[in-house]
Amino acid sequence: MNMMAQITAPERQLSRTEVAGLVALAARRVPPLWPLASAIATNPLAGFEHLPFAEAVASAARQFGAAATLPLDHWRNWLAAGRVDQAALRSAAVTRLGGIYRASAPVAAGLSRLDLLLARLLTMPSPAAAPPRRLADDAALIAKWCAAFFDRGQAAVPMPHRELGLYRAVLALLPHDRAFTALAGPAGRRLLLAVPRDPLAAVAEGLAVLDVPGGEISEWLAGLVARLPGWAGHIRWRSEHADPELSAGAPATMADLLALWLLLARAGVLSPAPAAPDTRPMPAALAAHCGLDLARLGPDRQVMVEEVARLDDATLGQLFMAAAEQTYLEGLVPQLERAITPPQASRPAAQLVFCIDVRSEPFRRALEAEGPYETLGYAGFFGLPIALRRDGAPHRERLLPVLLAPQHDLAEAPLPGHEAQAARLAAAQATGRHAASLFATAKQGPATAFATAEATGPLAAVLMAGRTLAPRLARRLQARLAPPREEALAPALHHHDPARTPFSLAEQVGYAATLFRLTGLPAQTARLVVLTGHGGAAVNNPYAAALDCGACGGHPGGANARVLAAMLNTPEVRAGLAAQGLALPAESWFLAAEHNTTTDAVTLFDRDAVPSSHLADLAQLESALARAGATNRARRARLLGRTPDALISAACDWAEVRPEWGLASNAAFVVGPRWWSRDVDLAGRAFLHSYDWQTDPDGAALATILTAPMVVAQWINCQYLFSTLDNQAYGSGDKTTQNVLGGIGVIQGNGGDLRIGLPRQSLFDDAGTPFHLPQRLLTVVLAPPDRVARVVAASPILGQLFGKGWVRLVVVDPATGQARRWRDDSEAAPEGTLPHEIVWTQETA
Amino acid sequence: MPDQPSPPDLTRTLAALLWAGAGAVPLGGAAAHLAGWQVDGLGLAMASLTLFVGAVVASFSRRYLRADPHRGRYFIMLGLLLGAVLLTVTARHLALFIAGWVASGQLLAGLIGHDHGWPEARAAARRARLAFALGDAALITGLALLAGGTGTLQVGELATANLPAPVATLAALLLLAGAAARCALPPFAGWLLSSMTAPTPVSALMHAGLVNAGGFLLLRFAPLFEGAPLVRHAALLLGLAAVVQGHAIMLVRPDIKRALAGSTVAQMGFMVISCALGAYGAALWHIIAHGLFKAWLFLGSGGAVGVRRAPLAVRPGAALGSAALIFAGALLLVPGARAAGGLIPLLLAALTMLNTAIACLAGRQPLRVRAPLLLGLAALAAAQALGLVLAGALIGREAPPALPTPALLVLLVGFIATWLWQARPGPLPAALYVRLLNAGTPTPKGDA
Repeated sequence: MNMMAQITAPERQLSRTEVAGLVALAARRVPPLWPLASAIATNPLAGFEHLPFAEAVASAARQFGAAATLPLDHWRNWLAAGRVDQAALRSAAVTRLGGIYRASAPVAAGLSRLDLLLARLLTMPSPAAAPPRRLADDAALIAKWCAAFFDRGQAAVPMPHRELGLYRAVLALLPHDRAFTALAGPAGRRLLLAVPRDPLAAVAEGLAVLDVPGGEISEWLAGLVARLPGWAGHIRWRSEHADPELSAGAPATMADLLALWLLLARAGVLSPAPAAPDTRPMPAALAAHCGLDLARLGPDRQVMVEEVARLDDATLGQLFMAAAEQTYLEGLVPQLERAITPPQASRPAAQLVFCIDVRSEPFRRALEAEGPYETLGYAGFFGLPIALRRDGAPHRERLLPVLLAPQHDLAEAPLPGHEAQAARLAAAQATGRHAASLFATAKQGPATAFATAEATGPLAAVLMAGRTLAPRLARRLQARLAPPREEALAPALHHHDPARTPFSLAEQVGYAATLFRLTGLPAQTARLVVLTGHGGAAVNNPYAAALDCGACGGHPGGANARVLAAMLNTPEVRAGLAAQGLALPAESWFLAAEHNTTTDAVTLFDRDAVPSSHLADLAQLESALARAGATNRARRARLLGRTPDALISAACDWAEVRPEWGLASNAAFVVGPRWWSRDVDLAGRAFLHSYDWQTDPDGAALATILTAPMVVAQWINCQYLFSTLDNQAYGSGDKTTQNVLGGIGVIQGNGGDLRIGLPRQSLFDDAGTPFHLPQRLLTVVLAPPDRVARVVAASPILGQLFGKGWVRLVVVDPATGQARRWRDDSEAAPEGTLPHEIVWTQETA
Repeated sequence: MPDQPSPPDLTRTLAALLWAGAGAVPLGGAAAHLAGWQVDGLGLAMASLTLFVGAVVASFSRRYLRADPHRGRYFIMLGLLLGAVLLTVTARHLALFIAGWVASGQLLAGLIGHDHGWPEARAAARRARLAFALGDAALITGLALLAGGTGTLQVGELATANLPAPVATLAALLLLAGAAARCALPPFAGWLLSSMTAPTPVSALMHAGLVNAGGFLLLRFAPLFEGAPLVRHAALLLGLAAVVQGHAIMLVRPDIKRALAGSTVAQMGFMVISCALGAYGAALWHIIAHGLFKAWLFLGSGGAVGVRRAPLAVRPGAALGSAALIFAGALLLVPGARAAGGLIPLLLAALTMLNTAIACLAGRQPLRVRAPLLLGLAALAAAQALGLVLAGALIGREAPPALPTPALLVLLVGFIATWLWQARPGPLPAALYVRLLNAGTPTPKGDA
């Protein structure tokens, strides 16, 4: 290419508005990436959700240079272990070959097309997982500057010129960057002076100079976005989901990032896009593997062999995955079909509302076994779109699903009677902050850094030995430095300035009523109703927040539970509910709690406020919670291959890389009343959302459940699925070599892209076998099929998720107990139905 | 799983042995000293540090590397590495010393490349191997010169050998090169700055143990260096360069592990300066305390998520005041002191404590916030003083001053002036910033 021609600006180029539109379109190729301190699961293939699932996996594999399937050996092991049913795999293979007639066509004596495909699935050697690749020099250059620019807490001396924005700041510094000169040469340096300073104008000019054809621009830009999915995702988070104060002084948009890419493209140093190797066998090899000599087969038979040999890894993996999903479905759905008779209604001793999280389910089962306790599932933010500014924290926490924006700002206030504790806590926190500031100052001064290391060394030795040899003792001692936060402070429902009161009475009544409307919780509540949020416990773990409640924006859910419980105990709110036909018994008391998913301990908040009349009920409940916790801990300990007691140590050990399995093995999203699923062991693999079809005639509650909590569950499911499928491309790799960057995320080793997804230790067991079996979410709803069909038809997002096969939907008819599966767009319609009809196919025989 | 009989857990045995050693060796050394035996204080201190950090790292790794596909190999190499370091610091015979020294470098390089399947890890390991090979070649040549000149193979006798000045100077220079490679002083800093491919506990051990080998070498052969003033000056300059480069890299790094690595380069530089000035006790104490400090920071680096830059407690008045006070003290003390070189680290330590105490006292926080901090600061200062005294006693050696008094004062002023300059508000000049950012981003070499 003629370099000079690329430096002079051409005459015709796109307007800034046109470019802005194209950039916004290209940005959608990758999902936003939340900082790890408030980790949120997203689907790394979110930019491909408009495609059918199988096609999306193959396209994304090409785009990101990723694998399209797990190495087949893993699938073969699951097949041998019975987690994938032989018959289901066979049936999937037959379908892939176009039906039983085509599949059984003989290729040679005693050998059918199906046999050939099964040979590829089951016995032919398959490629192992690819080793991690090194970033190309161009990507490494941009990643280096993104790291310097977006750093929020590490470097003592921040990058200069950040206030100019990412693109302009980097332009200002690149003339001094020898790595850039080495890459782009003198022509590249001249280009630095010639390109527009405005990122959109730079993109427009770049596109014109490079002569990218109009119809291909958005795809070409999307390809650039996908080269560093981590940093592109971080930019999307900043632009779309972060409070402005978090990016103050360092603005950056996707146009900035693309302008940098276009600069390198104009300098002619763009590396070729990553290419996925073709791992398909030669037809002759397949034939030889099956004992045939290809050359001696007739031409039509050769075509048959070739047809099977040309199937790629993505297709083979897809067949296994479909079989695994079918195996799971056939194990679960018949049990739910048989369970449609409601039990005799009796009033429970207490009702506990848990988050829909898959980790709630086994705990709920254990608790139900301990006494007359009813449990419900509801999104763990309890319907409250709030943000909370914690005492002493510089920023507010968004305690709500990322699909929503905060509507109410809360602050923490001392609990009545605990003002002294609150003051001690504030003082301890101030001491900590002051110490951190003195330490940071001394550590980074050129004259003081050395003595700081020397003076701190002996203390470090004591701390290291303590945290290593006696982590629990170290934790207890640390806890004594300050009073427990939840005993001193609570999120305040009111503000002394009436203008800043976070909620009006009508809003409080509305949120309280939504609990009943969505979950089907009857107005005749028990004497105690416990709203139970959840959070994980991990120390020295970059992924600690990934164990917290996703519905609370990657934070523990206790605060939301406390706020809703406080509302529901307010007489005015009760009166408002009664006016809506929800007259709660006066004796019902609402409590907030938090389930620690790492230790299975449940903390009850605000016990002081419980009326003395309820203390006996509370004592019974607490002992039941403790027993249920022990039961669930024992169950989880088996899955982790440890003793139950070791789980409690793991929660406070600074060397722990897998304090719990998190949401690994998630597989289903069950929507219906609890009695329906109560006798089915869901094995901690199901999100459970309570729902009563009888109280939701218009399907409004169902629509909310499927379009909000279910979508979040799908993100989680896809994150686990793809992080397992290719842990290098869609996950964050091995935890032991991760390097925390800028307080926001991790890189691997010395550099590279900001890592997305989950680390290897969260998905694979110690022996390197995936603990998480990658399969798509199966949603099972107990509701009249025509109502579900109406809800799906009215929602484009649901039409896409179910129609393109991202989520599989089964509806159990409450009248007949018959299950029907939603047919995705790629499946052939059964005979006698019209293509445009919503068709249900009966599944289990 | 719990039903199956598990194989004997050798990693537990390794960790238990290390903990036992970390307790027994210093106690045994103290007892031997009290019993009136001759104790090698330097070897004892280094062995104790190695055993303690090794014990922490082994225990930490048992949990941290639970899912590592090559766990067995990791622990074997870790055990061998610790053994090699222990051999180096306690060896009396030259052959053992060299064997331990070379083996520890190669084993460390192996652990940097622990993840064989990762090209970047292999490249980092190669880089370390190369740096160590150069350094080791220099060291062995230097030792061969000494052995040839004296006809002995005893490390202690080699160090105190009386050789013609040119031979001694050349040997000392070669030894300095060997130490610089291990300490990651410029121009060898690249291997340390690209070693983040190692699992976190290996980094902890590296920064707390292996890099100190260079300092140990300078201390072990202190008499040789005292007889070669030119080499002492070279070491001083090399140390200064390391302080400037490492510290500056630390300031601009956005990732925690390489910020820590930059800091280690600077700290090693300071330790080498202390050695060159003859402040042996201060150098030994720095080796021990910085090792503990850095291992702690590395092992805890996973907690850096969500951490925001702490607002700095820079108070220009306090800084200027304490600087003036310390300089006045220096004017009073340095000219008349017998071992004036040793005063520089002490004066900087005093400056640190003084400035921090003033910044703490001058804070706007209520007394109940500041009082625990002042108490803590006093405790740290006491520990620091105790450590310096103890290390001085362990070394039991004083060196003739390497620099005349005015030069010492200039050195002190240099540190203080840089410190005051850095504390000024405002960003770094762009060209300097980019240089530092790139200095901490070594260009990968080797296979792509």
